[in-house]
Amino acid sequence: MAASKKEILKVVENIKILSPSAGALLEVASRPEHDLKDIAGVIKYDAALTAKTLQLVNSAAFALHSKISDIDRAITYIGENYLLSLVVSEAAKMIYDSDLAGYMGHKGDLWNHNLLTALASKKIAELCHEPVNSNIAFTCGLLHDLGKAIISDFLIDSSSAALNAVESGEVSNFASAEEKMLGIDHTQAGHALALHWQLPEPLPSAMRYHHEPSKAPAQHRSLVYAVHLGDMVAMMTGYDTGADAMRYQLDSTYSDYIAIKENDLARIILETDQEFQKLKESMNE
Amino acid sequence: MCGKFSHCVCYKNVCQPLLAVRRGASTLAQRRSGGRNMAACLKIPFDKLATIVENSIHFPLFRGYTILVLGVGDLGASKNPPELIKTYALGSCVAVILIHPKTRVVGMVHVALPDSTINPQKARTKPGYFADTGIPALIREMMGLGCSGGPKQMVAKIAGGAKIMDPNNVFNIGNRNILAVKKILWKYGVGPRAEDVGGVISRTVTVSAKTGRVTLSSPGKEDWRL
Repeated sequence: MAASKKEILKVVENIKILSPSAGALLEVASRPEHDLKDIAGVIKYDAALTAKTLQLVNSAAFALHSKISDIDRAITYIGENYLLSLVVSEAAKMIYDSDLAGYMGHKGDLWNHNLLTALASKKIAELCHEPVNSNIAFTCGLLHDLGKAIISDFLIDSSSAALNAVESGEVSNFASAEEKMLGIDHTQAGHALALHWQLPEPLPSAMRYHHEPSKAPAQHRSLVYAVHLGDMVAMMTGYDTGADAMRYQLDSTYSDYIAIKENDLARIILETDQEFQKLKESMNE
Repeated sequence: MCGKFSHCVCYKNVCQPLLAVRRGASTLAQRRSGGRNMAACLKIPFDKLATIVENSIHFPLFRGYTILVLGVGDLGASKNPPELIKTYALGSCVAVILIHPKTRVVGMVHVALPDSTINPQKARTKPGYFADTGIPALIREMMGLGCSGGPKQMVAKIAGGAKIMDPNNVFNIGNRNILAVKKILWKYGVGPRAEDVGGVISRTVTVSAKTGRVTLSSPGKEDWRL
């Protein structure tokens, strides 16, 4: 078990670091007081990102009457969440390309799950008792489960045993089963990656505590609860990552941090599904 | 109606063209959440298509079968024997399967939410999204395919509605979906003959138009019949 954990952390150390632009963008996007101008400041000085942004805004999904060639206008039109999705999907492509074999998932499942979680987390963050930057909740959602791609290959031989451990009640959720099999779960692997990439808080906390939000640092706890619920929404609507689907527990103390009612949840499910389809359509072109 | 394929009864009107042909393939890796992202309900001629390359989406190929894939809120019906209707990764959503034994028409709707009053506009454009509009729409669709005698002549089966324990009673949508679906079915005098609902499991459902057989699957488990 110990060897597996060591081996997994070694894999994390060997993952290519983020490009300067992606790192800078995530750093800016994690600041509580940031705005679109700060995001634009990073995008504009990267030629490849500028080209991608213009390509995205002129895609059929945005249905513009006339072509936009001015980057400032394009950034304003697209908005922060689309830009972040674009940059993160490119920057972590090697991770999102994982087929999640250890979870009996498929290529693309991780990206779809994280994207749906991001959209749902953003909407849920707007319902927090204390003010939370909902765009940061989106970014946290976009990255929260990257640890699954890291431990997936190590789980291949033990995924059935992990599933059995959850079903028999030996452990209470799939993350505990991962830890039992490998000595490390996907949240710890994700946290190690966040540190390797030198991601700013609250991103590492969201990656580490999205299944145990009550353990998150107090200053980020509301936000991590939002990601926790966003993750649940993604699994409920079928955007899961394979064998671990629905095999996590809801932390019902969310009500101490988030005022969400039955109708809010139904609305969030509807709206996130619509936005997800639009975002996917624009990014697939 | 779809309009792109002669038998397709989806509401999307954006069914994808065939993009690749791999004749003679036997079985491909199952794709769990394929159809929904394409915002389309797909109709795949059995002797031509094994994989859709552009979207990296793979469909299981059963020799001699056509597969109609339903995404969230989609509904579809078939009276064409060499055909399967399939919906992936239900989560807390519920699949309602209706079978009309006399005509051998089968249909399925992938219900995501119990009640359409939350968004009547969505209910008009995509009735399958809600239990209270999805089931009537599916029944209408099947009547249009010649199911005589009304819904009482149909057999219903339901699957899905995975559970999330929430003492605050907000996230128990799976349970609310199950109750809403049963209420609507009872209204039509069609109690479900079989069900596989609740639990902490995400189910994929396949219905054979030839036999009316309903098969469930989930990652890491053997397929089982409903």
